[in-house]
Formats: sequence, C-alpha cells, structure tokens
Amino acid sequence: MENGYRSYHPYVQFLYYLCVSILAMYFNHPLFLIIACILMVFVNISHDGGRALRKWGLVLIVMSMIIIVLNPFLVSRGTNILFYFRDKQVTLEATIYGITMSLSLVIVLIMFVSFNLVLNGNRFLFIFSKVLPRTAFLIMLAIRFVPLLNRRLEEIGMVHRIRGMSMTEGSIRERAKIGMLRIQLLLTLSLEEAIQTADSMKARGYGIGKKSSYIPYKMEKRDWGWLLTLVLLFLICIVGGSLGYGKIQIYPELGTLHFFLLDWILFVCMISIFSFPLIAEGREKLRWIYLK
Amino acid sequence: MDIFKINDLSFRYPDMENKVLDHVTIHIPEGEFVVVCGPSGCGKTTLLRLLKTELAPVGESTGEIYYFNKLLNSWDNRKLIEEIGFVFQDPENQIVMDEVMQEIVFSLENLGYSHFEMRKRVAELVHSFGMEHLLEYKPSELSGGQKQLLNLLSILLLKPKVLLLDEPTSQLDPVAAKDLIIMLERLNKEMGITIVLVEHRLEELFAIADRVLMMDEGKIVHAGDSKEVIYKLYKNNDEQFIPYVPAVSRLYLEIEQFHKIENIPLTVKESKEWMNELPSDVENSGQSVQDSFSITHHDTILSVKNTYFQYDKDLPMILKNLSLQIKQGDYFAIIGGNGSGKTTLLKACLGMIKPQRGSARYLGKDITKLKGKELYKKFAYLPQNPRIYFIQDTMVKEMQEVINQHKIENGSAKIEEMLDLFGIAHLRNRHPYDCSGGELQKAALACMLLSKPEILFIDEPTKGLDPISKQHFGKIIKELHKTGMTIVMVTHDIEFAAINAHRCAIMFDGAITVDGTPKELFKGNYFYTTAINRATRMSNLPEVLTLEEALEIWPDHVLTY
Amino acid sequence: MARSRTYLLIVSVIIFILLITAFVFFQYNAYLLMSLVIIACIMIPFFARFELKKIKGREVVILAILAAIAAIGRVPFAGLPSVQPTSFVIIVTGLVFGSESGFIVGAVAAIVSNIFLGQGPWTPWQMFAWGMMGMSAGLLRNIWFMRKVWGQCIFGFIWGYLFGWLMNLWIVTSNIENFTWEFFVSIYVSSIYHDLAHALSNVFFLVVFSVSWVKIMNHFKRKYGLLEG
Repeated sequence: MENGYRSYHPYVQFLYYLCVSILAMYFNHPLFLIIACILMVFVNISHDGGRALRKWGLVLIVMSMIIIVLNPFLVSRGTNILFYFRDKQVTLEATIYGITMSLSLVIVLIMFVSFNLVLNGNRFLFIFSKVLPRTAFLIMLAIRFVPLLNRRLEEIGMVHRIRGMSMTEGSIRERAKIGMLRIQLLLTLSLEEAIQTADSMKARGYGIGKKSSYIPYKMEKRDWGWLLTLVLLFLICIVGGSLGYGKIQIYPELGTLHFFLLDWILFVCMISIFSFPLIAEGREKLRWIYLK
Repeated sequence: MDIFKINDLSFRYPDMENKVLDHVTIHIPEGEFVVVCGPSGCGKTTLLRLLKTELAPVGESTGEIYYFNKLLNSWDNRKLIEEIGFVFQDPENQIVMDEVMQEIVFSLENLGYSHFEMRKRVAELVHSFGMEHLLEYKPSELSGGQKQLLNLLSILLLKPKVLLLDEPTSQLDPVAAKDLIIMLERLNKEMGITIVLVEHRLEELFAIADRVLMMDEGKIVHAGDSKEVIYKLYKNNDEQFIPYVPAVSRLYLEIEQFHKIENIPLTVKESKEWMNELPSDVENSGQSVQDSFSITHHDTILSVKNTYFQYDKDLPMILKNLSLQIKQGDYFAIIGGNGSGKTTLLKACLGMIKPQRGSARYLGKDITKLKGKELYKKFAYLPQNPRIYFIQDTMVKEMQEVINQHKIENGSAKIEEMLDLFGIAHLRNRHPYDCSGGELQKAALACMLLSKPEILFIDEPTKGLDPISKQHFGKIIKELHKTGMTIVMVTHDIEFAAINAHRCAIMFDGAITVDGTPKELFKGNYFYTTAINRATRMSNLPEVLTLEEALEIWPDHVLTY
Repeated sequence: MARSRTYLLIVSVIIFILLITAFVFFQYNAYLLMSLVIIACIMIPFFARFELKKIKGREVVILAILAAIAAIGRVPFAGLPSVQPTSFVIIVTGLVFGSESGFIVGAVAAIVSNIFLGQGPWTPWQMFAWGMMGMSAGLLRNIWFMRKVWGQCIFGFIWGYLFGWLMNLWIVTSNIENFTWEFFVSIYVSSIYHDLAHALSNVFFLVVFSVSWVKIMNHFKRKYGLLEG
C-alpha cells in the first residue's frame, strides 16, 4: 500500500508540481533557487533513496555546466565587465544570469524526475481524463500496449538473429533496414491483434452511451487542508514576486542580493511549499516512531 | 426455457464461396453447459460470434436466432451487452486498461453504473474470486491464467445470464487451464450461468459438459451427451473426431470388448473403477516396462553449464545454477509451468541473453558470440507464433529469400520438394496472414529446412492447435528427427512431450530438476503426467504413459477378455 | 471537412507566430512556462476536435497501437544513435489515415516515449513537432508529389530539419531574456548534424519502406473500414 506523500490525492500532488515548476521559473534570486534545488533533491531522496535521480545526475551537471560556462561568452549584455575574451566583453551579469538560468532548469528537471515517480501513468491520466477523456483513454491504451509490443519485438529479434539478420553487424544501412523490417513485422502483427482488443471493448459496451467513472482516489480532509495551504502560500509568493521580492535585477546592471523583510517571508513560504512531500513523509515516520 | 434457439442458420462471408455455417439448428436450454468443438475453420467461432450481436461478423445470413423466444436483434443493445458475456481466445489482447482495478470496472463504466454500485459489485466478486492480491499488479505482469480470470471477472460484474467462450484455455498451461475450467463449472453449477464453450482441449471438459456439439464444414455432425457422442464416434469409426476424445475413454473403448455407453469413463476416477473390475491376475503377466527409445550416445553439441541469469540487478534470478547437455540427434523436451524460466533458458540457448555466470556453448563456442552464417547455417528456431517468421508476402517468396541468402543451388527444385514434403503446395501464393496456425508452422519449417540446419528449437508448438493438427505436427517432427536432426522443444503440453520426445527435463524455479526419458520422468507423478498414467498407476494393469504404449504392451488376454 | 481542417491549421499557425512575436517584443518573466502554455493552447483545438468527433472503438485502438509502435520503434535502433523510425511511422500514418490521425498519433507518441525516457519541459514541444509532422503529411497526401516516393522523401527531409528547429526553440524560449542572434545561431548550428541524421534516416526509411507500409496500412484500413476521410 502506498503511504506518506504518495498516498495524497493526485490533484494535490499535481498542484504541488505546478507550484514548484512555476516558482522555479518565477523567482530568480540565487539563494531562493539554491535552497529550492536542494529541497527538490531531498524530495527525490525521500521517494526512492535518489535512485532515479542518480541516473539523471550526470546529464544535469553537464547541462548546467554548459549553460553556466557558455552563457557569459555568448551574451555580452551587462555593465560589470569581468574580462575580455577575443575582443568580447564577459560580464558579471551574464555569468549570474547563466547560474540562475541553469538552477531554474535543474529544479524543473529534478521536479520531473519526482513527477515521473509519483504521478505515474494512471494518476496522471486520472487528472487528464477530466479534461480530455478520449485522449486520455487513447494514451492509456498506448501505454498499455508498450509491454506487449516489447515482448513481440523481442520474439521477432530472436527469430531474426537465428535467420542471420542481426542488428549488431553490417553497415548502418543494413542495420537500419533490418531494424525497420522488425518494426514492419510488428506493425502487421499488431494491427490484426489490436482488432481483438477493440472487439473486447465493444463486447463490454464501449461507446454505447454515457460513461461513468470509477473514482479510485478520494479527496480527504488532509488533502483539502494541503490543497488550501498550497494555494495560499503560492498566492503569497506570486503577489510578493510581482512586487519585486524574491527576484534580483540582472540586466542591464546587477541589483542588490540583499534580503528585505518581505524577502524573508517569501523565502519561508517557498520553502514550505517545496518541502510539502518531506513534511508528509516525515509526519508518517514520526508517527511510527511514536507508536513504538 | 431455451436461452438460445437457433433455427436453420446459414452464414457466408463476403467474397467467400462456401458457407461457413450450413443450416445449423440448435436449442440451448437455460443453465446448460455446452461444449462446441471441431477442426479450425469449421465455423464454430463464427457461430459463437453470431450469438453476440456486437461481434457478429459481416456477411450474408439466413435463418433466425432467438434469445428467450424473441429475435436476438430485437432486444435492447444494452440488455444484450449485460446478459451475454464473451471471453476471447488470447488473454493478453482483450485487456484494455493499464491497471487491474480499471480493467475490472471497465464494463461497468461503459454502461454508466454509479460509483456506489461499482464498489458494491467489485467488493463482492473480487472477494469471492479470491483476487484481492492481483489488484496491486499491472495487467502485463500477470500470468496468462490470471489474465483470463481477470477478463472473466470483468464480464461477470455485469451479471450475465450466458457466457460465450472462444477457446479460452488454448494459450494457457495445463494447470491454469484447469483452474479456469473449474471456475466455469462453479459458475454454471452455483450461479446457474449458461455456458457455451468452444474448445480444442477437451480432456476435462467431457466430464463437465451437459452437451457436446461437434462441427465440421459448417454443420453439426455429432451432438448429445458426452458419453453418447463418444460412443457414436467409435461406432462410426470417425477418425476425424476420435482424437478429441479423452485418452481414458479411448483406452476403455479400445480395450473393453463389450462396452456400454453408461460405462464409458470420462475421468481418471471412473477409469480406475473400470480397471478394478478387470481380473486381477493380469498383474504379473504383463511385460516389464522397457524404454522403447534407445538413449543416444552421441557427442554433446549444446551445453549449458552452471548458468545464472537475471534481467536486472534488482530482479530475482531466473536461471539458477542451470546445467544442460544436448547430444547430437537428441529429441529433447523442456517442460515447466509458467515462470519456471523455460523461455529464458531457450533465449540463453539461442544466444539472445548473456548469462551473468556460466555460459551456453555450441560445439564449445559461446553462443552469444556466434554471428551470421555460423548461426543461420546450423540453427533453426520455430517461434510460438509462427507468423513472425514471415517477412515476404507469399510463401514462395519467403522460400526464395532463404535460397538466396544461403546461395543454395537448384533452388526452385528444392522449393517444390519442400512444398510437397509438407503438403502445402496449395499455399504457395497465399499471404502468410491468411493461413491457419498449423499451416504456418509447416510453412515456416519448410523454409527453415531448405538450409538443412543441425539443430531445431521449438517454442510451445501445440498452443492453439486442434488435436488433428497436433498429431500431424508430431509426425512431421518425428520424421525430421529420424533424418538426424537434433530437436529441442520447450512446452507445457505433457501429453505431447510424452508421446514424442525421447528425453525430457522438468524445469522448476530456474533450474532443471530432473531429466530422463519420458517414462522415467512422468510415471508416478500427480500432475506432471498424462491422464492415462494417472489412471493406470496402482491398477491391476501395467503402468503406461500413453494410449499407444498401452495398446502395444498390455497382455493380449486383457485385450481379448 | 477538409476546409475546416485547413482553417484550423492556419489559425493555429497564426496564433503561434503572434505569440512568438509577443514573446520577443514584450516583457514577461517566466518564458519557459509561457511557451508551454502557448504550445498547449495551440494543440487544444486539435485535441478538442478529436474529443468531439464520432469515432469507433476500433479506430481509437488502431491510433493507440500506431502511437505505441512509433514510440517503441526506437528500441531496435538503440545501437544506432540519431536513427529512429518514430518520424517515419508518424508520416506514414498521416499519409494513410489523414491529418487528424497523424496529429494524434504524433502527439501521443511523444507522450508515450517520454513516459519511458523521461518527461520534461520538452514534452509539449515534442508533441507539437511530431503532431504537426503527422498533420502536414495528412494535409498534403492528396497532392501529386506526395504520391511519389521522391516527394515524400523531400517532405521527410524537410521535416527532419523542421523538427530539430522546433525542438531548438524550447532552448531558445527558455533563454529569451538574454536572447542574442549569436546565441540563436550557435544553438542552430550545433544541431545541424543531428538534424541531418534525422532527415537522412527519414529519407532512407521512406525510400525503402514507404510503399510497403502504405500498402499494409491501406489493406488494413479497407478490410475493416477504418478512419475514412
């Protein structure tokens, strides 16, 4: 059974990810972003010990390094000139921008790693099917076909290997041709079989009238509580941000990094939003310890 | 009251000359368990589909179908969807949703039931089916048998009055097939659901069915109570349908001189009762059981040594310290249930996977390293679904392709020879997708044999074959084996392995538990053995494995008694 | 029908251009976010059409299986970088089953393949790019040059680049604040080879396989009377 953060209603989780991705691209104060980034890493660790994140680790680091290093060389806006490179000015502003830029992006990407773990397949479609029911159903069917197709493809590969049609030798041309032949075989095979799936749908009344839907998730009191809390905190952040707090001015000249009182308030709000999964998990853990 | 009344029904598909159904008349009373069988193409599936309006094929039809005394077409659609349930052959293809719970309620959702009603019905049925544990899995992770139960459950939620089933066990292993049939029997007896079942595998069904219908070329050729039908088949010596009869009944009819309809045994239990009535003095007069196959003493050509394999670091080991030796000229069958790792073993033998420890070697060479010619000159592999062998759009083109690849001289003569050998000359210009499973198997074998491979791997060859095609296939492989080809077969069909293979191995939990001749292996088992063996074990007669064996070695005076 | 479809396409292209210009000339803060919203807005009419259209269960299943094949098609090509048959499958779908089916299969294929390769801010862009690829193949299918293999090849080649350019846009839009032409050009230059591989593999697949694929799909379409028009 799922517990902790994963047991919350998909709406709440979806709202969380929405808030996180918007705020990550909304604020640009480096301190805000650094803390947000660290919190997102912790959120991922709380899901699965960071296993999924580790796969992405290298990509994220390389990508952010490229942005940080390249940005100042490609962009020469800004007033504080650090040095010249091939007659082009390398500015402090462009460097800072590169850093905030890559941090924003990294947060969004880490968020998607968590998103993939938590709001996977059916939970995502549950949200989606309210808006676009048929599209959601189609996507669901496609996802459901993937393991089936994979198995068929493996079988085909086996037959082809024994027939001397290998994907590991020969020129790119030949290999591409054999690869496509496999997909073609998969196509002819699967189209016919898909008719059986359609028949099974028809036999069970698909398309006969208005569909009702089985609701696997129920909004409970704590879901409503968190939903409202998230909305409230999020609104504070947006309003504060529109007044210029939580942000720095970069171009044309770098503004101050100083924290004012409202900055602090926004900072706390943002941290509370970002650490929602951590709080949810932590509370469960504490309860267990307390019970023992 | 008759639930279905079919009067003089004929049906013809567009662009087809012959009628698929030819003046069929049947009355099915409510609550009956009806089994329909016949060779592929006899019209049984068409008949079944015509009873479910949503699936009725397009074509020209005459005659009437009544459902509760009212024409089927005049009923309300929604009512028919609810009351007539249909289970298909392939367990995988009929699953629609990506989650077990969603799949279960799919039918209820389509018909717009309230959330309350859905929860109520689901809670009741999931519990009484004992399927709570399945809810946590994805449908793709379930075994074939579990998938078929899931399909059944989804239909039962609509509270149907009749279930139509189109070969529901043909893709399942024997244990899962038995589970499904027991479930159907329960539904029929406890809930009074009428059942119309089209099936090839009839061993257990004859005992359960209230009525058996045998169809051929669109006509019902035999109909009646199981024992009656069996009796009639033997009286008319109907060779086409005798293979459908359960082995224990055949044993009785072949051996007992004065057979009576009511005494024909349908189950192992009844068979034992009959045998106990035979004189007990034959016990010692029987010949001692000998292996009729001589074990080959050739060189090992394929060896798997202390192999371990897992698909991923976090997944369980599929092969555990598995060792296996296959000698030149062997006819080897690997038997095992679902998830025993037999398919993975086959993959290792074909070099599709690289074991973590140990290796599979062909004449001392690591199979995963074999490439191109080394492979396709010597190996042949007949997949479970022979369709995937075919790339070209006719059989002849496919064979020509093999000829070109192997640079075989005198190609067209060789092709003709093969077509004749397998008796498939009439299929020469047919598209592979327009052929039956049995025909495809033969055609694929014909293509493979052009290049004279040394070793042939076969994966589950008997799935979905009718008994006649199965016999044919067995004969073909036997012939190939006689020419010196080594044959390795993976199957869950114990009867087939017992009759055909010379050496068998049972796989369990990722390792080969035992291996030996079929007799050493199957005699005395409870489940991993044939019905005949179960019947003859601890009886007055010598223990045998197959009908053929019984006829061969049982003392003559039993036969003339 | 055909007219309303063209109309839809024109409207969505205009919205797209308007929004892009709005982007460049006006000050927003969250550019990446805005771009995603825009993409979503452009695609909504297409999905809405699909939702409202009368469509058989069989057709939904066929579209799903085509999308799944397009997505999973990458598997056998794992050893050949930059060669993937996804675009080919989508183009052929558009050619045989028409523009709407082409769009749906393209967009869904993007979602499905990313479920296994990782969703990200690029998902909507991919949905859009592949969706448009399928849609344009469907719109042009009755024009004479698209009936010839060479015409299809030119189409496939162009889309190899267009796809890459659309995908580059997500990097550009997420960097609008320090947009310079130099930056823009460097992004596009760096993707030339990758896009060339995509374009050439499209051409290769279309030359060798488009005839047989169109034949297979047409045969199937006629046999079951699916997705006419």
